[in-house]
Amino acid sequence: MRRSWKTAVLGVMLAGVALVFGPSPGRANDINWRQAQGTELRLLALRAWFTDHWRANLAEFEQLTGIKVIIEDYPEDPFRQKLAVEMAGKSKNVDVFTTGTMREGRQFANLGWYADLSPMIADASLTARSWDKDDFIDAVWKAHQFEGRQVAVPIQANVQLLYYRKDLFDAAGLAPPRTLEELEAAARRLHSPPSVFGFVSRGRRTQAPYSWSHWLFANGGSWATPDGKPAINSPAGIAATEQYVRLLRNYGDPGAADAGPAEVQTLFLQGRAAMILDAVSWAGLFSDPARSRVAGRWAATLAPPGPAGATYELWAWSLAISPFSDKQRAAWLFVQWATSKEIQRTLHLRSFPMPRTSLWNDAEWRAMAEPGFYAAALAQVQAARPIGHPPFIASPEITDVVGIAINNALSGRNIRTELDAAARRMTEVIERTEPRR
Amino acid sequence: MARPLRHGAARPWRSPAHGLGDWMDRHIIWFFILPAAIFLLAVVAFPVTYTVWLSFFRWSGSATAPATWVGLANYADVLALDPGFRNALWVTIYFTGVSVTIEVILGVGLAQLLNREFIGKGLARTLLLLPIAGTPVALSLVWRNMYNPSSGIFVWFADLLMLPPQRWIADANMVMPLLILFDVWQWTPLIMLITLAGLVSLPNDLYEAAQIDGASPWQVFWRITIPLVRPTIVAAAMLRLMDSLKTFDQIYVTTQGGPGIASQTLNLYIFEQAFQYLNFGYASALLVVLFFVILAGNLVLVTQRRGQT
Repeated sequence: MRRSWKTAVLGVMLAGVALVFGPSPGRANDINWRQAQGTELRLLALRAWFTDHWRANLAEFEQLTGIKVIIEDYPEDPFRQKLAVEMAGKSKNVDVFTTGTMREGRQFANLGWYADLSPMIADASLTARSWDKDDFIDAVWKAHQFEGRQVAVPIQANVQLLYYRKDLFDAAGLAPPRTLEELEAAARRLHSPPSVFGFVSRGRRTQAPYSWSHWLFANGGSWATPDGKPAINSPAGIAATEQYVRLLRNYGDPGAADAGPAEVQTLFLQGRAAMILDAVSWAGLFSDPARSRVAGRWAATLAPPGPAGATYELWAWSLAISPFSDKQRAAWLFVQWATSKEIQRTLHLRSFPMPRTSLWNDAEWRAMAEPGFYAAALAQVQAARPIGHPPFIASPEITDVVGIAINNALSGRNIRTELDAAARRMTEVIERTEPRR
Repeated sequence: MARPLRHGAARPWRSPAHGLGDWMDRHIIWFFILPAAIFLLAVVAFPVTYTVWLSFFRWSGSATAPATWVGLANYADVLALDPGFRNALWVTIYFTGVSVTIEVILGVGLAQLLNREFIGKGLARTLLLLPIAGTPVALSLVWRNMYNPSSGIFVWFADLLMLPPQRWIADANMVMPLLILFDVWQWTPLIMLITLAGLVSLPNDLYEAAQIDGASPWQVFWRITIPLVRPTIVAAAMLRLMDSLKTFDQIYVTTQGGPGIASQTLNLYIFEQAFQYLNFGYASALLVVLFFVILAGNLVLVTQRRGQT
């Protein structure tokens, strides 16, 4: 009796010590974070602000878990090449990797390149309650599921906002566009080359579909019919492409057919674009007076709807675990840390929108964000869908097939001919890559 | 001769170690070749064989399904001239043909210029060699910016000359000439350098004899200089041809093969098929075809070289 009483007191005291000196309160000690200590992980990553942020805070993770992480990052194309080679070779050397499931999720899932995260998420000894899966915005979380399996955890939540130059709009007595028709009218009105272009957007072959798909869905079009046939050359698809091409050819910059993210972003930063429909994550940059000539002179609004309303486009980079890795438990600890509220909050406060509901409701952030921007971005993120890429296994290839058609149309070729040709090519790729129904 | 004695009955006893040393002595040539042979086997023969092997499959690197043997279907697709391949083949031949021709003409001309004495020759040579000294990717970024249709320096020059506004590198009709201009700027010095080395080593007596016979400078150039440096020029052209047929970095950085696929060379097309679309089997078949394209280009040049000397 006496012994058990003493043990109980000791236990309470130890628990108190743990509470005072333990890890930060946000990361409650409900799992053993040191269960894989001594492990060394390799993260094959995209070179980006989120990767930089993990690297800067890596000591914290290593202290918490005793796991060493080697971060190897590359620009997008070399990164994809490196990843493809390692995964095709079933390399055990990659444990965690960055992935864009909107683009390649279906393909990678089909190839067996993702470890299924669902069992690990369900494992109470492995997943901290404070990580809080339910905090992830539903639309974003579900976009990372294929065939009932969770293949990745989002590390951002990007939608496309319409950024416009408030000063130019006010001077011309224009209201922010509420439809794509009004957007075109405003572009016409504000276009005065070469100093200011009415509307800039991505036109490069590999990038055009990302921007164009907003027009496609706003016109009631879609990548494919419900039974998996190409639908890009439907009347809605043609109308959408006509409007997008008309905008860029008449009111865009002369380099539109070669413009990728860096080009259009630079034009807006330099004050040479009246409007741009692009990533919500660019807001921080546009507001930074050190890098932006338009800081304080822009505002943002919802991506304007077309005749068929608006489907907001979702893009998110994510973290996945390699199924060939022997260190999946340690890898999952890292993914939890990298996608934790604490890590994501810092980024969110730096205007990189994160996929967690709690961060969008964070009082500090709401006080910082410009009201119009906040409302528009939140409304879109909650309703966003991955429409920027076609719902097929060969999504990267089909995206490019359509990208070539849009790009050729931007060079002045006939839109219907180009879309018909792309649809035929799409059918070939689908027949080669989709399982027989 | 000592050799018959060795096989004779009177051959003295030798320790096994001695015997091995002896054997090595006799076959020493193989031991010199061995490291190089192993190296070649590992880095050339294996990947080439594997590429050819892979070209008979349809494979995307799947961990769940095995590669599908498709026999010659990949080659059939290539030879049926799928539009992507047809375009890439044409772009490659156009780019290589035009740029190597211009580079050879300009390079030989510049070498001829630098082969005479003039003030500032050293400086001129250094300046002319700068483009090859630069990192291709960095230079490509510079040219990409110069060609930028809304802020590049070419736009400024065109404005100065009061030319109508152009789409420059975003124009499917202008992109190839612009890329060729960049290539000529970067690689003409290489041809110049190699030709110059050939010119410097030419014997003087032929020129003196020609002078005595009263040959015109033009005759000297065509009848003496060109035939003598021809092998050097062909070697330089061959070097450029091989390089040019498999150009990747320059075009990749400046245009990524765009606009559309207007500047997509075979190598870019293959890269895309392999690493963007994960069509590894088809990309392998394309690589084998590219190998034969390069081989054919070189054979043409080699016959040129042999035919005249």
